[in-house]
Amino acid sequence: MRTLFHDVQGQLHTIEGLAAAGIMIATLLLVMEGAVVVTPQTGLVLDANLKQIGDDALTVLDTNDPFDGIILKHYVALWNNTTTNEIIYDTIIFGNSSGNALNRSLSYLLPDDVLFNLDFIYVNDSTTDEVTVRRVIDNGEPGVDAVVSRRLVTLFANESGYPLSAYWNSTVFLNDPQVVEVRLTLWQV
Amino acid sequence: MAGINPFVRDEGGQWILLSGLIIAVGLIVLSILLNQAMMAGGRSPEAILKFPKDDIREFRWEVHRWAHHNVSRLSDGAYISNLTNQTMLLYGSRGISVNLSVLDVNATNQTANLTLFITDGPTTCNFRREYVDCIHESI
Repeated sequence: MRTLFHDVQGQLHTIEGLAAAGIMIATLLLVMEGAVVVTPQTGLVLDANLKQIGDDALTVLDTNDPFDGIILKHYVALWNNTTTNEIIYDTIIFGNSSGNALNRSLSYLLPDDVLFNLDFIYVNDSTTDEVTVRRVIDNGEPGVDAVVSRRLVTLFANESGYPLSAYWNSTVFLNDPQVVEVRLTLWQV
Repeated sequence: MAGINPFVRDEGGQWILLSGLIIAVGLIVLSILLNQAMMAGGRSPEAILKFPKDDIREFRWEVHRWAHHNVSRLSDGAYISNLTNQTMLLYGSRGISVNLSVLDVNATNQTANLTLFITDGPTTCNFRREYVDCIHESI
């Protein structure tokens, strides 16, 4: 009579079955561990990509053109402390008089599904250490995945090719140039 | 033969057993590779977003532009202090510390030696004796 303890048949099959089960569990664990680590970070790829798009757009505007000079610097220099979304500069080639030219330039350079806000940040008076933030382009409230790209522009008094607006003329002096941070906030819709 | 353990005596299905083992090991290796690839995919953008390469490049670039605008003015203490102070406040408002010292300026040769420093805490960058040649560099 065969009992549970006396039956010696099929041991290899039993061991093989156990080993297969172990291997399958180990494989599942490894794959699931990877998925848990990666899933929350996939958004970072989109953020990095969006930031690169913003940096590229600002780089294009901040590049010295043999005819127009540095477009971004023109925009900043001619900004006259105007309120949000008003026309800043409308005589350069890819600007347009029917709207905020900087808004149009950035709209051309950025993909259609990307919205953006633009701020000029500068130290209003070096002696008071006051940082002023002015919203120049406002396209709404940034989404949760918004990223920021930045460029510095320095305005010098009497710099040829970059006439200053009346507002900057009152703050920029020969011994006191104005450093302006152009902050581009982008988000995908 | 009755005394020999059937586990040792059974020699059938060796190839099936061996191939099963190879497939299992292959699956584990593939899983590890897949896992590592996914980890790398997650780490790269994290590194891109956390390392302040744009801030470092922008600060260095802007200082070069100051030199190119008028290199001899860099030896004017009040002038360079105004520029440095504004930049320190702009970067400082988002937790980044920057500093600039002018070591020497050669107005005749249109060159300057500068020291730049920038840190956001985890990353610190020092440009010691940064050489600016305003004639041969194009900005």
